[in-house]
Amino acid sequence: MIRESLKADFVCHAINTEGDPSAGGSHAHAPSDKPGQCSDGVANQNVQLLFLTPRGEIFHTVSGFRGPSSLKQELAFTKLLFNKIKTDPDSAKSIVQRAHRERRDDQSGSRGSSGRNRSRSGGGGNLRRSLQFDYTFAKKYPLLPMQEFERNPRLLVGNGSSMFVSGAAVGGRIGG
Amino acid sequence: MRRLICATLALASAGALAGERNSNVRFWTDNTGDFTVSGELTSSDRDSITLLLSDGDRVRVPLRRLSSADRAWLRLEGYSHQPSSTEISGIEWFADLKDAQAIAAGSNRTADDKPIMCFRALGDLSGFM
Repeated sequence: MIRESLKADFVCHAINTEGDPSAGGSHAHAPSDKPGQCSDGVANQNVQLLFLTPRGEIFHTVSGFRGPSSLKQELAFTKLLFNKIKTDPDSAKSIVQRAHRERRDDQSGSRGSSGRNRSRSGGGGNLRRSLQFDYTFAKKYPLLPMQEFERNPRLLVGNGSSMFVSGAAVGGRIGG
Repeated sequence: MRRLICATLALASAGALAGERNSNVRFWTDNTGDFTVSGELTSSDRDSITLLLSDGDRVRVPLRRLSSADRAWLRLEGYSHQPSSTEISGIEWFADLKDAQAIAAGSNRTADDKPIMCFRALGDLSGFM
């Protein structure tokens, strides 16, 4: 299902973030290693999905690992949002901000949600933190050109390589 | 394109069997693998090629509608602007964002645009698939 959606609905592009200031240095694995157990939101420093328009503008981000069910929801959200942008390009920035705000509210249950999505935000600190990264990024940098993001990838998940480089890692969080 | 391919398949096949003197005359397959057409490659740009069919019609085909084998052939034949991609687990991954952008905006119709999913990860892509 996910594979079919990626093939049909998306154009896929990959970037190796090795050496990137936002990439973490902990828990490195060789590609051939058997994958360990992961929960949604972990490794937000080491794995991110950026969703771009064909013009290279970022309209949605997913920081950290996502399991199949969660990833499926992200892809559905992305497709819906992209279609909205396409139909009203002049309002694209506000559409992106509003969609993420509504999504955040829905996840937190502040809009009177039945709790359908609360499990996502309630799935653990890692996921809550990742969702917050993604929401804050969309709010502050809607449709940020990818070229600008590449100049400063810390805009999404902060500094990852060393707590000494910036104050972003104060509190002991280093890497993914 | 599907309708066009269906309509021209018989004519194109006959023309191809009559003799392919030009090296750019070949069978082209779409990205579903269901449809094939014979035509001469007459021009190409970053996101499409133009084929001359045996009935004299010219048709522009977005690269994203071509099979990965046809895109690989274009690269091998020296169409250097053709995007470089790797197929892993049935998903085509573009190494260059500009190529991904060209494919994502495959036609002049905004309605046909696709979003790009950029996978940023610590390590070589093959380790994650």
